[in-house]
Amino acid sequence: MAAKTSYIGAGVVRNDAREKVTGTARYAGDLKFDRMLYAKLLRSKYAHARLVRVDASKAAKLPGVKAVVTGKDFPYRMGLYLVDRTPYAVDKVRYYGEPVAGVAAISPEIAEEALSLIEVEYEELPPVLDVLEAIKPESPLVHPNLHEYEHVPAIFPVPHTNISNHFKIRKGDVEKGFAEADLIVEDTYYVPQIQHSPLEPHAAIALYDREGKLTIWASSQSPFAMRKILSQSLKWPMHKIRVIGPYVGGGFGGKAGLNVEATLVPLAMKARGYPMKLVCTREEEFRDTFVRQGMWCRLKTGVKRNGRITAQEFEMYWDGGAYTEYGVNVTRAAGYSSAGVYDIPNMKTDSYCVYTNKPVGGPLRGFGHGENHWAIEQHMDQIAHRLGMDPVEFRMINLQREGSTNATGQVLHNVGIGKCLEETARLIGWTKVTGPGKIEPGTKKVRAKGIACMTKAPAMPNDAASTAIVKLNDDGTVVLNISAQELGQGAFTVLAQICAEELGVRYEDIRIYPVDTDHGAYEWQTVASRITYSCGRAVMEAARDAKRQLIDHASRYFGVPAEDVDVVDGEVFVKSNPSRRVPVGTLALGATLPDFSGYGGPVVGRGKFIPEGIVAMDAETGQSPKPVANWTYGAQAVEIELDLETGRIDVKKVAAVYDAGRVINPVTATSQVEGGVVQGLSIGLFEEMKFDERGKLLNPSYVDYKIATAAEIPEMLVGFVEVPQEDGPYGARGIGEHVMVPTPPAIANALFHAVGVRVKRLPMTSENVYWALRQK
Amino acid sequence: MLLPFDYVRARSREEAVDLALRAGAGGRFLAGGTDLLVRIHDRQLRPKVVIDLKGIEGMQAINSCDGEGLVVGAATPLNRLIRDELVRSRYGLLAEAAHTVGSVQIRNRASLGGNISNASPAADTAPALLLYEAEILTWGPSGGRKILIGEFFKGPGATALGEGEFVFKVRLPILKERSFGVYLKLGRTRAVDLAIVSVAALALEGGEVRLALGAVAPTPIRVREAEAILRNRKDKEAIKEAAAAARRLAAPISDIRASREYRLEMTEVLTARAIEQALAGLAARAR
Amino acid sequence: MIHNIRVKVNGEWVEACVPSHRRLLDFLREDLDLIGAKEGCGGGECGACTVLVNGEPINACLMLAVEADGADVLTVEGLGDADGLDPVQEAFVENSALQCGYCIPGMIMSAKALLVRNPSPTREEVVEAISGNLCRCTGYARIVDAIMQAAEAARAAESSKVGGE
Ligand SMILES: Cc1cc2nc3c(=O)[nH]c(=O)nc-3n(C[C@H](O)[C@H](O)[C@H](O)COP(=O)(O)OP(=O)(O)OC[C@H]3O[C@@H](n4cnc5c(N)ncnc54)[C@H](O)[C@@H]3O)c2cc1C
Ligand code: FES
Ligand code: FES
Repeated sequence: MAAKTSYIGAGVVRNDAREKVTGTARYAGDLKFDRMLYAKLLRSKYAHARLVRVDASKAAKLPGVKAVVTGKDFPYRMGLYLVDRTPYAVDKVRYYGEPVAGVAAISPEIAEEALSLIEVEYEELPPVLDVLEAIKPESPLVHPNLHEYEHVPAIFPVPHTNISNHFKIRKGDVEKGFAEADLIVEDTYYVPQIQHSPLEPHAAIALYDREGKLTIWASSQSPFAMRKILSQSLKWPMHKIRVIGPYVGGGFGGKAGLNVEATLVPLAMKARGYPMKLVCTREEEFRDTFVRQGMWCRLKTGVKRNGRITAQEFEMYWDGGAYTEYGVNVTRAAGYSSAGVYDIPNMKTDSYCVYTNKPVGGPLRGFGHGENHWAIEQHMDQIAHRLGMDPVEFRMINLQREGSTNATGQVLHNVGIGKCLEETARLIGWTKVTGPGKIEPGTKKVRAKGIACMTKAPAMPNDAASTAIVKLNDDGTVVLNISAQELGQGAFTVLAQICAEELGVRYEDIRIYPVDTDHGAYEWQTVASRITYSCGRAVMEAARDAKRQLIDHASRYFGVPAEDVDVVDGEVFVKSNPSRRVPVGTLALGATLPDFSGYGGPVVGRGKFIPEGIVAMDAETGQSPKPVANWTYGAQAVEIELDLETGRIDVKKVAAVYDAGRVINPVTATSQVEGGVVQGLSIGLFEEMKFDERGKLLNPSYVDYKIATAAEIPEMLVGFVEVPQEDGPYGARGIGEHVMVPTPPAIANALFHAVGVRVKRLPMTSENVYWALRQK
Repeated sequence: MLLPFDYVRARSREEAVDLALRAGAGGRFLAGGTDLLVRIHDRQLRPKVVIDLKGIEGMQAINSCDGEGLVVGAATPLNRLIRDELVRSRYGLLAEAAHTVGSVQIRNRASLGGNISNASPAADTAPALLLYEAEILTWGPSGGRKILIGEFFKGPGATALGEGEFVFKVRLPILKERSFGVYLKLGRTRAVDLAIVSVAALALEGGEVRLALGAVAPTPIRVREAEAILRNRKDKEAIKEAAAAARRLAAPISDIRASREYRLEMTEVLTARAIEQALAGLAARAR
Repeated sequence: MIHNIRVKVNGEWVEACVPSHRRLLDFLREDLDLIGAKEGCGGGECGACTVLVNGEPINACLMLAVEADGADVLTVEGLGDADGLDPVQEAFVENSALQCGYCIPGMIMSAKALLVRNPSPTREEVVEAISGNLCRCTGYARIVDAIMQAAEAARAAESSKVGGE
């Protein structure tokens, strides 16, 4: 018989592709129900103000309005890591755009008219807009009651300050390390707040029915986490809350946790029996959903003349915005990865999450690493330059390798960064940097290359688990019940591949349905680049379990030992006599034996996974033998063309190599990298949320918040390294977030190599680069 | 979702004027809607009546009148303009400039008349129209009149149009000489962006070089003083001087897209480049 | 103000009453349940709402339903037939030229219009045709590949037709 071809490593066609090209795929905003109402929110016009009076009585009387709520109606605090946020402002507003009241009406037009009837009296307070001001003792407090807020043990708020988390690394002896150094380099770096800007704005529909059950259809990365946050906050049993997740039109972290859905809950409770829909406008999407936190940092590194790093001191101040319920964990993750990909014996890191009166910071693809690597990877180039070394050579000396320790003191094994860096350099055609770039003849343009590395681990609680259930239908098709979300990353495709591989059925025969917390297999959240790794393992186990059952049925059915049976391409057969075969469907519900008695029963495989052996980091030192599930490494190099007269950077070519452990699907993996590179390029060159002096966002639209268009794309050379992940499926580990982290610093390094000018704040717009060129 | 208003499709010029006068401040003309509907969507404008001009005869036509140049209906979508053979061959600079407006989708709706009636300092077709010395043929309560493009723009969002008056057609006079035009637009992204600075240069065989700037003054401006420098000299030095003059004539503001200082610097850089490219293009064409 | 309109949508004439301020996008999505066209911004910037009106791609968020009176409107739902996908859709599937898919209906309509107008586009022309369609996921490269491939497939089909006759 024909040799079985493996689905692992195969570039099968995405299983969501047909639905998506025909317009059949449904997203939350596409859903419609009878009697559906339209919800709209009244948002604050001040960044920081006391709410003196909120009077919604006129709005409530408008015909067609079914529910109106204000903060006083629903003063419940919510949050994933730090419980600091109410769906509507209660006593004061903390950012321009914060919901003050909500309305549900029979048409969007009426809902909007109702909003205009709500009277709000504000007493403006001085806004806290600058993170470095916010940490001063005399700064006004955004959350005076911070000390009362509940939080997970891994978070360390500093009471009576604006600091909602202080994460520390204390490794070795930094004083000694700096004393040993021949050269100390110190610099500061900055990244502004930016937006995920998925093409699909946040959308949700909520229904509180007559039975007292709340159902939410949401564009969400986190149906189960949403259920948990709501249940904890409302003190409701979980079965009273159901979250259904249709396709998500892009998430990038912005749809993790609990978002705009929270504002619908009190409205739904008031208009019992009416489903109601809330779809964010693009303006709301830019300002009133999670944003990536801004960050200002100071980095200081000691190095020997031979290039070996002896010590590092890193201070990060995160512009966390008005609420940091999720953001606190970003600042923690950026803290424990503060060594980057380098082996640094002595380290001191302080990562502070700081409240400001700005939009709410939260997770964004990269989870703190795009920010800290913006600093680290430029810094490494700066040191190399000061030492007169080539940036690749200098990195090679300091890279983490077998037996190295990272910032947490964890001893590392099977580290793939060396290979990634080598391969990246090869792909881009790296040649030793020798002085500035050459001006292209007849133009005012210079070409140059730059390189940057990265590493990141999934930032998640130690009980972030996955489950999978594999059910066989008697037509031979398979229902793979998982609750990973398909955000576009290709989760459904890769999980179906794993299932098909393990079960011995055709990939095309596997069906995955939208997430439903009522009867779906548990999944923590689709975040942290963890689905292939974690859910993949659960699927693997569930499929194996199902296969064992099938084989057991077959063994009785054929009257041969189990070892003599196998399942391939949807058929069960006797290995020693392959002509004896039946389709899996025949045995799906059990086996009918020769005497017509039944055996076995319907095949249901179950699998689960939780990363084991993770040890909490020490509160004072951040040290732990195994702080996280795994580390993914990667490197990127870029070739840019710089217009010396305008400051415009054109990224011509990008090489990107990641250690995926094992590539399950080269097409979706490559596609992830390409998408990440372009998002990274976009963040590097264009993206910044700009505020006026009173904290109002000035560019909540694509008109003035530019993201890369098709005209910006570089040539992309993508490669993978495969150093297996011990507990990953087939050795696989996540790459989804990592792929956009090194692009901006690689561009910045290329800029330096082009003209010896360094831009230490994002974005590298033509104007910012131009002034940097002029200052030289 | 848009908030309610009334839509009326005018069937004649007279009806359009009549509707506009009756609606007063609550009335708005509609051509392609790529600006008007965005403003209504963003809740910046809340008109009572929207008067569609596209049904008026001639509003979307492109006619060449012998000896009179080309007459373009004001509601002609930019893509039709760009694809028109006569426009491409005789008024290439306008086609090139129109091509930089928005996206394909936008240009299928956005009209020439809408672009100038908006009176955005960054309107991309304006510098080209200034250099071709276009005439704006309007229709209003007292019938038709002609406004020279140089007198059409009065400030950001302000035009010479009176109450109830609209742009009916745009006439492009015949250019007797061979010419070559260049439009340089500096945006943030390479596609679908508004100009931070834009420069149009039109080199004529007779030796004249015309120059206009966008996004660096309250209106798009023609910079004749800079042109004068190039009247008899076209060497590197003259180009430099002309570019410096353009910079002096620019009066940009700082806004979210760029600072005043950067705009000034870029005015100079792009002006020099535009002149060089226009002269080189003309020379190549003459060969 | 309410208008009676007659619009040909995906080959079928539809008669409807719409208020003046109803956008073509809302008309398609809310009144006709054609949810393929998406709203990504409502301001003409993202292209997720792209549909063809009389063969030309436009932003359905910036056109009033009443303006489409008498027009021929094609949405992604009108592509392909009972037997299968349109070659453009086919090429997007084969190239995995999509991720979350939210931009894809608009992207495909832009591509479709391009190939009708220009069956042999260059890469640059493809890029220009879709530069009004933002995609936050894919990095565009595969989308450009898919459109180039669809063009090639269409040309091949065309030439084999000629050869066979
Ligand atoms: C995504 C996007 C990108 C854009 N990019 C650009 C760009 O790159 N460059 C650029 O210049 N513009 C750009 N614009 C703005 C706009 O598309 C153009 O200005 C367009 O030419 C306007 O034409 P319209 O027919 O759509 O105008 P409409 O929106 O119909 O009208 C615009 C204004 O002019 C009035 N008006 C329209 N026609 C007439 C008339 N004949 N007589 C008197 N008043 C009239 C209207 O009442 C309204 O106030 C962009 C817009 C969008 C949404
Ligand atoms: S929704 Fe129409 S262009 Fe974005
Ligand atoms: S596939 Fe997600 S926006 Fe394009």
